[in-house]
Amino acid sequence: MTKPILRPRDRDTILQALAAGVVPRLGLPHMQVGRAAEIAALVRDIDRVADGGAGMRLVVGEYGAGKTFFLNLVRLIALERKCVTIHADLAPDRRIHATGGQARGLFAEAIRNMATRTKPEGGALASILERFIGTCVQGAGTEGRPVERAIDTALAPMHDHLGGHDFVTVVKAYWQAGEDGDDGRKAAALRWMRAEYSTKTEARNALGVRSIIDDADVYDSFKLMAAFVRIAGYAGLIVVLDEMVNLYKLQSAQARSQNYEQLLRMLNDVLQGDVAGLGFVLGGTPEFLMDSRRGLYSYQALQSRLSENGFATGGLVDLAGPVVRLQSLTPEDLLVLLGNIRSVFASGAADGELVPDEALTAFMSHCNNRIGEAYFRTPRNTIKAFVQFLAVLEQNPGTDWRPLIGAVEVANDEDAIIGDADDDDELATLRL
Amino acid sequence: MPSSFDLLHRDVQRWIRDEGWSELRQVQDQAISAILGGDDDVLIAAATAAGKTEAAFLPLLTRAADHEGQGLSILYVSPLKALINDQARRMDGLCERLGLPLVRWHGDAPQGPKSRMRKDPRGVVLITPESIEAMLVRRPADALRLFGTLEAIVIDELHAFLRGPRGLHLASLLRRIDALADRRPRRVGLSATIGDPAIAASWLNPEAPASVARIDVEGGQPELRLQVRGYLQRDAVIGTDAIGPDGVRIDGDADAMSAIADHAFRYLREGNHLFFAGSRRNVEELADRLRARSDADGVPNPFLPHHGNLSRELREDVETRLKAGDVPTTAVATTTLELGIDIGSVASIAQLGPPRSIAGLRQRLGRSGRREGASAVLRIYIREPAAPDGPLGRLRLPTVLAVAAVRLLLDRFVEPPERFDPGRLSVAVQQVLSFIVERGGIRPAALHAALFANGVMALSSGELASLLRGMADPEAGLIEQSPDGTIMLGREGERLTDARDFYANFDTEEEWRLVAAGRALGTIPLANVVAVGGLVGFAGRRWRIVSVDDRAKVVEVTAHPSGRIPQFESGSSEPLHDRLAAEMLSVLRDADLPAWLDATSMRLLQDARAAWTSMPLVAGCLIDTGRTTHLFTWRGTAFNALAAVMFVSAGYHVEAHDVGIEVEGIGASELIDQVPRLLEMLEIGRLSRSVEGLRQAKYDGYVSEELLRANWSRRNEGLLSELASFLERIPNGDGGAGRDSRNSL
Repeated sequence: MTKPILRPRDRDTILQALAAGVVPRLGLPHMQVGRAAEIAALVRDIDRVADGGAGMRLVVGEYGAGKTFFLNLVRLIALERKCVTIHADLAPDRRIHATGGQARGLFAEAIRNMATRTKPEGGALASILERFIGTCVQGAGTEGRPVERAIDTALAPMHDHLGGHDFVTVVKAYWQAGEDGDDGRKAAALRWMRAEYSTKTEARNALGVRSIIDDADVYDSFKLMAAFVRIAGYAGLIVVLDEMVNLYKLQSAQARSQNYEQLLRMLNDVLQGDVAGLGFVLGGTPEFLMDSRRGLYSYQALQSRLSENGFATGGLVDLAGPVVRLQSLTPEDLLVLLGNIRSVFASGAADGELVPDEALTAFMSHCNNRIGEAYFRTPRNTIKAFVQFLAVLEQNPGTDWRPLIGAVEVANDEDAIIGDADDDDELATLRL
Repeated sequence: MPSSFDLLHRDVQRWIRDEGWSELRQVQDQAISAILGGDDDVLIAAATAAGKTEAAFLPLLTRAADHEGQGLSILYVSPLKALINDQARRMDGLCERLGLPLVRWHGDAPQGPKSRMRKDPRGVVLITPESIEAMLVRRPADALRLFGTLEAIVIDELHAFLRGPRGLHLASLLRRIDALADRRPRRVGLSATIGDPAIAASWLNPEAPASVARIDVEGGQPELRLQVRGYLQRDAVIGTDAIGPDGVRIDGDADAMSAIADHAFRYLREGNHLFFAGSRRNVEELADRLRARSDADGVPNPFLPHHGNLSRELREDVETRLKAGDVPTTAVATTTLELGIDIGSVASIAQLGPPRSIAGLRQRLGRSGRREGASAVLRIYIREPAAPDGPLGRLRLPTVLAVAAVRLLLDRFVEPPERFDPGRLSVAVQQVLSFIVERGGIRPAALHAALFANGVMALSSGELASLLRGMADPEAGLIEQSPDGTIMLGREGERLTDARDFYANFDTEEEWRLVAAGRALGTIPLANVVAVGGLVGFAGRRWRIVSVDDRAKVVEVTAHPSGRIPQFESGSSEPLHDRLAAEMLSVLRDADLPAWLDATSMRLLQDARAAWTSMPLVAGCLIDTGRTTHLFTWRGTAFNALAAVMFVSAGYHVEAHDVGIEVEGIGASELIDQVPRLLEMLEIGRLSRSVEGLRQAKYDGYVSEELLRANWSRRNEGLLSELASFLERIPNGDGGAGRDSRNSL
C-alpha cells in the first residue's frame, strides 16, 4: 500500500486517538508497520468475497497486541475494494446467540456502523437504500416500465433466502414512503432493518410485515444483507466482530455453547461455499480460542476446524487456515512505528520532524528498562507515551528531548474493561 | 387529626377519610413526620397490628405520587410470601387511587403483572429476598431497569433479618441494589419491638447507623396468656421409634408424648394453631399420635405435620389450610421452618420442650393474637424423666429453662444478633457466585468494594483472597480466572448457579423420596435402612414399603396400620444466650412459684430448687461425681463451647451442656490444680485448631478449613478474657456464680 497524503484534519484525529490509547478510524495506512503477510492474507479474503465467494478469519492476539488496529485496517481495505462493512464489539449485552435481545443488540449495533467508501464513518444504510432505489428508478425509466416492477425484478433473488420476503417488503415500503413523502414510514423501514423492533405486533402495524429480525435471525440477516448490498451494486459485505472474548466470559456453559454453535454454522457455510459475497473477520484473545473449558476449543467441532497447523511454529506461519495469529511486533517494527508517528506529527514533511532517529532508540531502551520486554508485545501504552512525549516537544519549542525521556512514565498495560474500584494491592494482583 | 396528616398527598388523605379512620395512630403520626421531614433511613418499631405498614407507606406513597418521571419508586421486602399477599390487599386500593401499580413479586405470584412491570416499571413492588436474588442472577438487565430508580426500600419483619444466613443474604442483596441505583434508596425498616434498636439501626445503615431516625412506640401488645405444663416420662429414655396401631408405644406403656397429645387433642382441635415440636422426629411422633386420636374418635384430623422433609405439596396443603382459615387446622412443625411457614394469624401457639431463644419465641408468639382484642396464647409442654439421673437430671433443667425463658419474655429481653455469624462465609460464597453471574465476571478488588467493604458481610481483603482461592481450588471448581484477572464461574460454579435452589440460603440434600400412589410424600435421609416390607411413620401416617428404586432413590409406600419413625439428621440445637443461662440460675435461687405453672411443673421446679440447695458444690461451681466433674458456668452456649474446646486441647474428654460442661476422668480438686495450665492454653489460634465440625452452612464445603477456623477465632476472641477470669476465680473458691455468691451478683 502506498501512503496517501496526510490531511491536517486526519493528522489531529490520529494524534488525539493515539494519545487516548484508542485506535484512530482514519489514516491507518500512515501508521501500519509489519504484519505484511497477515494483511496480504486478509486482502485475499476480501478479494474472494468481492468475487462472490465467502471467508472467515479469526484474528487472535494478546490484549493490546493491535487487534483492533488491525481489524480497522482490514475494514478500510474492504471499503477500498467496494465492499460494504459492518462492525460491532461484542459485550455482555451484545452476542451472536441469545434469547433476551442481546443478539438483536449486536445486529443493531453492527448495522448502525454500516460503512461504505463514501460514508466510512458509519450510518450508510440509508444511502445504500437510496442508491439501490436510484438505480431501479433509472432502469425503469430507460426500459419504460413501472419502478415497482424494476424493484421486484432486482430483488427477485432475495426470495431464495430465509426471511427474504419480509426484507423485500420493507425495502419496497421504504421506496413507497419516499414516493409518498412519508418520513415516519421511511424511518420505520430503517428501524426494521436495524433490528430495532422488539415485537412483531409493532412491526406489523408500522410496515405490514409478519416478522422482525430477532435473536435467532442474526446470521440469516447477515446473509440477507450481503445479498442485498450485492444487488445494490457493492462487491460484498464484510462483517467485523471484535472483543469476541466476551463469549468466553459468558457465565453459563449453555449460553457459550449456543454462541459457538452459531459460529460453527457460519464457519461451515463459509468453508463449504454455501454463501456468496459475505466475509467475517472476528477478533479475540488467545484464551477465547484456546481455552479448552470455555473457549472455542471447548466446542469439539470448532476445535477440529480451527486448530492451527502443527508445523507452523518457531516463526513459521501458515495463513491458509481460518486463524490468523497476530505476531508480536518486533523491536524493529516498533522502531518503524515510532518513526511513523514522528512523521504524522510532522504532517509527512521530513524537515518538520521533532526528534532525530537516536531519540527513537533512546525512547525504546527507556521503555525496556521501565517495564521490560512487554512493551513491544503490547504497544498501546508505548505509543501513548510517545505521542505525549512528542506533544510536549511540539508545544514547547526549543526543549531538549534528552532529559525529557527520563521522565516518561510507561504503565504496564492493564485491561480497562472493568475499572477496579479501589487500589487494594492484594486483590488487584490476586492470582488464583 | 395531627398536623402530620396535612403533609400527606391529597389522594392519600382522601383514602384515609374513605377508609373511615378517625385518627392516625401514634406510630403513623411519627413516621409521616420522620419520612417526609428528611431523607434519612427510618426504623419503625412497634407491636404487631399497630399499623406499621401504613406508617411507612402513607408518606412514601405521598412522595412517589409527587414523583415525576419513569421508574419504580418503592421496593418492599418481606421474608414471607403470605405477608406480601396480605400487604398487597391492604395497599392495593390506595395505590390504585394514586394511579401507581402495585405488583406482588414472588414464586407463586401471577406472571402478567410482573411482565407489565418489566416493560413499564412504576409504583411499588412487593418481593422476597430469594426473588431479588433470582432477578439479579437471571435477568440483570431487568434488575437494573427496576431497581435503578428506586426511592425507598421497605424491609418488613426486620427483626427476622438481624440474625442467621437469610439476614446476611438480604444485607448483601441490598448492597447490590444500591450499586444499581442512581443514588442510594433510603431504607425504612419495620420491626416488632426489639431489644436493642441500635443493632437494627446499624443493620439498616452500616455506614451511618447514627443517622437512622428511630420511631419506637411502646404498648399495643396483646394480652399474653400462657402456661407451662410438665409431664413425667416413666423411663429415662425420651422418645420412641416404634408405634403400634393403637397409638401407644409398642411396649404398651403410655408415655409423656401420648399424654401431651391427649391434652393438645382436647384444646387445639378447634381453630387454627401452631405446635412447634422441635425436631422432625418429634413432629412425626406427635402428629401420628394426634391423628390416631382423631381416627379413634371418628373425626376429621386437623393435626398436620410440617417439616423440611415433607414434600412441597404436603407442606403447601397445610399452609393453604392455615391461610384460608375455614377448616380447623393445627400445624405440627419444626423450628427451622419458622419463617418458611407462610401463614397469617393463629389462635394459639404450643411448643414442645423449653424455648431456647427468646427472639424465636417472640416471633412465634407474634403469630397469635394479631386480631384486635384477641390475646396471644402460649402453651409450653415439658417432658421430664420420672426418675432423674445424675446432678444435671435432678436440676430439672428443661423446666428451669422454660421458666427462665418465660421470665425473660415478660421482661422484654431479646438476644442481640451474633457478630461474625457462623453462616457468613457460606453466604459469601453464594454471593460471589451470584455477583459474577450478574456482572458477567468481575475483578477481585471490585468485588471486594461492591460486596464486602463493610456492613454485616464485611471481609478483609486477605479473607476474601483466601475465600476466592478456596473457591478456585481445582477440586471445588467454583470459579476460575481469565488472564486479565477477571473472576469467572468454573464448572461447578456454573452447575450450582443453574440449580433451582441457588437463590435460597437453605440446604437441601439428596435423600430417599417417599411416594404413595404416585403422590410425593417427602424425603428421609439416606442413612435410614429401607427394605421392601419395612414400616415407616411419615407425614403423620404409617406406611409399608412396597418397592425401592435404588438408583432414583425412590421408595414406594402404601398405607399400613403400624410404622416406625425414621431417623432424621439431628440438627444442632439452637444456642442459648448468656442471659438465659444466668436467668436459669436466678430461677433456681428464687422461691416464687408463678401462676402460669401447672401442678406438675410447679412440683418439678420445687424439686429442682431443693436439689440445687443440697448440691455438694466444690469451689462454688464444681461437682465431683467420681468418674467425671461437672463445671457449672451458668453461661451461654458459646462460652461453654469455648470452655469445652479448651479442655479438649488440654487432652480431656468433655461434653458441653446448657449451663456448663462435664469433664471426664478428672476430680474436682485435680481440676482446680489444673487451672494454671489451662490458663496458659488460652490462645485463640491454638484453641481454634481443636475445633471440629466447622462446616455447617450450605456452602461451607467450599470454604477452606483455615478460613473457617479464622472465622471461629474472630467470633470467640472476645470471650477469651471472660473465660480466663472465670477460671481464675475457681481456685479462690468462688466459681463466679455459685450458690453462695448470691449477694455478690
